Amino acid sequence: MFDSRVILETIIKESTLRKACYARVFFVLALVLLACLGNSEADGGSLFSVWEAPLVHAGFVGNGRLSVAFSERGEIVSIFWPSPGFNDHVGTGRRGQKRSFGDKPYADGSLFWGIRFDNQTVWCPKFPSVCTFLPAGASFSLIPSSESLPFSVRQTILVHPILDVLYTVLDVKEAPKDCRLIWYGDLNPNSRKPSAGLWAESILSEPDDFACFSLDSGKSLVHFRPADPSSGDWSDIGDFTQLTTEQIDKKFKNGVWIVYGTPNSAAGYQCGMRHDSDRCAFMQASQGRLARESLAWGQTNSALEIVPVSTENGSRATVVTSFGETLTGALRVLEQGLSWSVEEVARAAASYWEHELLGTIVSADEHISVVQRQCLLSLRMATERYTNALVRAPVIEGFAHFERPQDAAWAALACDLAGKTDWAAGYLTRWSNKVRLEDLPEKPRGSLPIAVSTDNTEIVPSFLLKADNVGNLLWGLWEHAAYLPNDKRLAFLKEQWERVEAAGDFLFLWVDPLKKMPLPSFKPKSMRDVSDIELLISYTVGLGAALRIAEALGVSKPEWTERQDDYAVLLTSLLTDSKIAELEIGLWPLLDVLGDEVLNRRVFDVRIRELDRGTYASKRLEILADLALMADREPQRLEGLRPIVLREVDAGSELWRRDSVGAAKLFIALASVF
Amino acid sequence: MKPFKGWYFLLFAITCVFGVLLLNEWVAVSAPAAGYCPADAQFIITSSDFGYFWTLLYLSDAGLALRHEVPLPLKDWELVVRHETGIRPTPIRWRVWLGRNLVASKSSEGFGICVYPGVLLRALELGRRLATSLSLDSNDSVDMFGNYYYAWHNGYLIVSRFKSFVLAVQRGNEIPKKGLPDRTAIEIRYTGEPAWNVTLYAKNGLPYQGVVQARLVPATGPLTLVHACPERPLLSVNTSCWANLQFLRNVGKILIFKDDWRSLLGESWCHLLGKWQLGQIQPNWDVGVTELAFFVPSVDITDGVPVPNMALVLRSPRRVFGEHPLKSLVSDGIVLPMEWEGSPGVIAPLFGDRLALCLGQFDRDWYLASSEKTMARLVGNLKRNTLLETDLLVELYYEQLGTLLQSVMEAWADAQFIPGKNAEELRADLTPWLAGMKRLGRFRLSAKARGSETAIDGFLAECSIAE
Repeated sequence: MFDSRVILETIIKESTLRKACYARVFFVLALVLLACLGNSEADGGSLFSVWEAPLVHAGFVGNGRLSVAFSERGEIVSIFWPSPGFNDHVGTGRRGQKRSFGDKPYADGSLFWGIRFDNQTVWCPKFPSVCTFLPAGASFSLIPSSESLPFSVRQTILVHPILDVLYTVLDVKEAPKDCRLIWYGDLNPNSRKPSAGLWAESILSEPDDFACFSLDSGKSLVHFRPADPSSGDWSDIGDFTQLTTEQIDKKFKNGVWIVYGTPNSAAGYQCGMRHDSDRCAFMQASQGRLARESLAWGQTNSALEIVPVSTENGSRATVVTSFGETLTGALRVLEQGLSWSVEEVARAAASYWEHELLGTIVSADEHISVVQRQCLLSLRMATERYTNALVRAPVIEGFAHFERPQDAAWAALACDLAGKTDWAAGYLTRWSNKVRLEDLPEKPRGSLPIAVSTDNTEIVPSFLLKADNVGNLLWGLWEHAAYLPNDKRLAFLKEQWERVEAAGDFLFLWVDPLKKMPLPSFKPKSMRDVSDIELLISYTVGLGAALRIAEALGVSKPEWTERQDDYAVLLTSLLTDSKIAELEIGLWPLLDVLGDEVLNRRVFDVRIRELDRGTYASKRLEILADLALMADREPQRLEGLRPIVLREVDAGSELWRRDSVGAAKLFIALASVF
Repeated sequence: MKPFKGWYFLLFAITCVFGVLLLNEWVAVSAPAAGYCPADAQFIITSSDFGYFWTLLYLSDAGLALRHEVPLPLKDWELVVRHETGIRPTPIRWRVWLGRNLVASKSSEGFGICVYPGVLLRALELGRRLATSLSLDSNDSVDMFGNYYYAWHNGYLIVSRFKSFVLAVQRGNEIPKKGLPDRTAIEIRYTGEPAWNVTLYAKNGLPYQGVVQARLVPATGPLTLVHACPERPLLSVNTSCWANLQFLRNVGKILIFKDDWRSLLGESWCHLLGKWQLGQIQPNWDVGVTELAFFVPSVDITDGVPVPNMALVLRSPRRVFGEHPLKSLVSDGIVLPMEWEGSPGVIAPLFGDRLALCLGQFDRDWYLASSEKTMARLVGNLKRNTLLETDLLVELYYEQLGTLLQSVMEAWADAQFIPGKNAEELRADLTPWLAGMKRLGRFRLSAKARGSETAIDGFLAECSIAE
């Protein structure tokens, strides 16, 4: 139980944390004000490292609200709720942990299983495992070593298709009788505004969390953080574990409440402090002595020791985790979650997603159709249920949890090819509604935000202008229109015209009048504004698409045509083979707009050579989609592409399970080639 | 009516109190030296009468200006000390209990103070030793009081949160009384590289003077760009040559924490520079430049991200023409031609309108600015001022700094960046401090070459200019 010493320690820790944050605020100011001084002695991390971090998770599952990403060894590295785009309540990516086991920092910001037997605790992520994807989850069969883990183990992660409930299951075969299974969680509930994400993730290493407690002696454990907690909340938390759930809700009001419990019997539990080696739940679980403390606040973690139940195949422990804005709500959902068996939930999820994918157009080849359906599943799981906001993945790395218009365009094309034009329209209209119709400083008419959080707010800093977003969106809109029946196409284009016109005008006006090149626009890779051939391509594609839309609606735009011709001439001279090989964007839209067959063949040949040289997985998927679209009407080329695409599918990188946009690109390649 | 016999007792009591205080004071002033510090101390602060200095600091215009907004600026610290020692520190109490002399120092072992208390604290300590199991011979034994370690060493009291520091002071150097600043001042000495010492006076404007053991290139004539910025800037630096900015960097780098913050700062800056792929500055690029001025006229705050508007003006003896001396910075990237006041220039965009390297020229000056807006404000609009005979001048205006921090605080409070407090509390806590800061006027540092060293003087908070 807690005592005054604990309160004092917590106050001191929070005060230290706060002072550290004040220091960081002033530090960032120092960064910009003292930048002129420079510093050649520095060798630490960078404020921008989160921006450029690669995707390290192995996959994700979700239901359009609750989204869970996991590593290849079955540990949960991020949990986004109530949207795939905000907020992460675990935080591995944010902390940029080194991926090596054996030390405590590994346990910070992740959730995983452990097994206690023969007076030792072995943690499952220590062992390599084979991952199998399920319709609404994944399972991991551990590859044990005979000395440290002399029995076979399988972990399963499942997300309920409707409710915000996560199931984590551990099945152990031929385990010793006294074996206990431990679920460890370093949850960090985050109730901060998602739009502040970019800076918060970069600057604050431990901004979240609040408290962890148990009301029922370990039957269920709660991690929570009220919305905008005050210093009163932090310092005068009191022993509220004696209160009723309604009273607790009244005390702390809304926020993020995460409750987990088990349908099995609990043998021990600990609500611990991450930075206190005596009270840390991970340290205690490692030593097999969970102290049964019912309350901790500050930077907390927790562990639950479970007596497994016997099943046909051995022993099993299940942990059900629910999410809610209030404790009462989260407990109600948990209660429902605990009333179902994992098999029931797996069946319900399979049936739900089967229904969701009903009517999709996939290949007749069974093997290909399975992959195609998995791709669509990945796409839908990364899409917010009610708003069609699409993220690449629910992870912080690379800011994959933000929405970007180029992703929407690829996703829309995949959905159109799958016959799901309503999904495609959802992705695109969400972005077309963001085209600016007013001319504001740094936000000219017709431009788009660089990216948005899934709560529809522009990411910080919003003054960056990324002009190629506009081209991508216009191309996406025109491409989508082509998949609509005639009557619907015209209605769709009419509906979009006001935004299309603004965007087209932007691409016409936002140009260096002398060189006829686009004015510089922000390029994340260079961390600055540039005007390069990729930007020119996006202008050409965008203006070309806008012209086609105008033509379809009977609107004359001679100035656009003239500018489009200028761009085309400029591009033809710039697109050398070596330049084509360097480009990191899809070129099919350009070829489609220009309709230049000779250029098409050249680009196809260069890109296919590039594929052979072996680039990284996400780039390969983009090139494959590009090639497949280029080869669309030529059986000979399609024939040549088939083995390449198949090789990619069988290669096992399974990027499409961890990157929804990668999944969309693979779907496009498969749909075009098979 | 009986005469009041208690008068004798009262008189006796008053005489005793005065006697004790006199004795206390007599012991305190009889300190043979200023105090002790560790042999490897990096920072040493000395005062001949710290309580008096503290009082004067409160009564100076800067102290009054700050206390106008924050009546008890040391409230939190005083509370912590009171919780830990039982006494809330005030200037009078400091003098009664801890005497006059103060040597505060920081070394690799930690930080702490060394004082020469009067008879009162010594008597109290004796009483404590008699009442507890502590040895009566207190010399050089390290004991604890609350969270503090302390030891007596040759009659001096050493106090620190770090035991190793107390031991290091016992083994350390004696600081002689001779050379101590007068009662109205304290001396701050830095023994690192470059070494410097400054005497700070608790007078209006908080004036200071000192010496830095670093060489400054002397100006060939008076500085002409002082206060030339058309509007009052947040920060301005005037000097005669680029090399003198290195002097500023060397002195200034100790102000930045030498831990991961500094690494993060440097790494982020280097990362950006690497990404931006700016060109190399040509050697001897500043040949012919006789004076330079660096201004930060303002800082834009959008979404809580501070982006400073900065400018560098390079002055030549005669009208400039030809290629900008810093053109090589932008020669590898995209540049857009531009014109300011009829003179040619270029813009190399970095972050839209907020950050773009602008290079231009006008009359005798080359300009480099971080945004077009700043460039437009400066080119052709520099004010003519009286000439100043100095080699380096740095000025920071607290009102602008306070306004900037206020905007950042507002944005960051809304974004809930600071754990442990919500936006409302953060505003309530910081707003008075920032309002107090705005009343402090100007920080000013003037440096003049003096052979192999540099003499500095100026004001920490020149409040008079704020009025």
